Amino acid sequence: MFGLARRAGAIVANSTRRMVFQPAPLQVTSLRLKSNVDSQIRKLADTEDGLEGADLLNFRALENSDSWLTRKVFSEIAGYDSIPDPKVMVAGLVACRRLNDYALAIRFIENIHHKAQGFDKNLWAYIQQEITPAMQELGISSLEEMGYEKPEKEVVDVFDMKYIIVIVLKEAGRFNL
Amino acid sequence: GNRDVVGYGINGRLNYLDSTEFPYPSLRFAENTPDVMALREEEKQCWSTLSIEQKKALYRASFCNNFAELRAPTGHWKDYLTSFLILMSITLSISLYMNEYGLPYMPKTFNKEWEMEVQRRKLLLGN
Repeated sequence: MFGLARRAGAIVANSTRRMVFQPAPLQVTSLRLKSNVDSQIRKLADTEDGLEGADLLNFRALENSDSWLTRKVFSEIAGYDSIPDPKVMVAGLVACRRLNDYALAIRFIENIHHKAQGFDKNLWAYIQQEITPAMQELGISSLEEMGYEKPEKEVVDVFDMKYIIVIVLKEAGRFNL
Repeated sequence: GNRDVVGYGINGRLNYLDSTEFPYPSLRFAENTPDVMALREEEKQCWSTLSIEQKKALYRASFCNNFAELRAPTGHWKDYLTSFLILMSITLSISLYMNEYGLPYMPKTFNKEWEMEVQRRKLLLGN
């Protein structure tokens, strides 16, 4: 009785051992094949330091862009659900420098800062880290230096009721109501 | 006014609007006065020679509010809360007045002692 149980247990253990250990070598070779194919595709495709897809398109578009096109690219970046690669950001800042538009560069950085707050606590620190060399080279001061991390002046919301009441009364006074 | 057109903007028209979703409007905010033109000439040189005040002036010439000001809390919730509370208090007072004086009397059977007497008689009849 016990002999049978022991033999059955041994059979089960052997079969499970085979099931556990056999697939591993197959997995390793399949991964190696996959990476080979990927690297070949990458050599054939149009890449620039590992940028892909939308990042690459924006990078290329910012190279010789005029004011209209840089703003178009920036607003597209603002619309994506992700943050661009730091190389794309640096290309954007260089495009701003070429257009002699400092305010646009600050606006771009502020936009990315606003987006980064929603992702991860460390993301903005990482992005700043990647960008500060380029910013120092171009002479752009960071948001902290300019004091734009906090609100500076009071926001005047034109649609507040008190302003509308004033405007209505003024208009009524004009018609001698 | 005499403002630069700089791009497509938010909807293709020549409006200015500050927004966190559409940060690049089609016009600059300030008009091209001689002060602004002087700043633009200095902008063409190296930016590290500009002072912080000049940089801030450049930003305010192109944009009205920065992102921190757009994201700042407005305090409109106080408006909404006060109006809600005022209206609720008015309706509550009206309903109390109507319950006390306006509506007709409740029938006799809603009296607690009446109901207790009814239950007592039921039990007596049952047993």
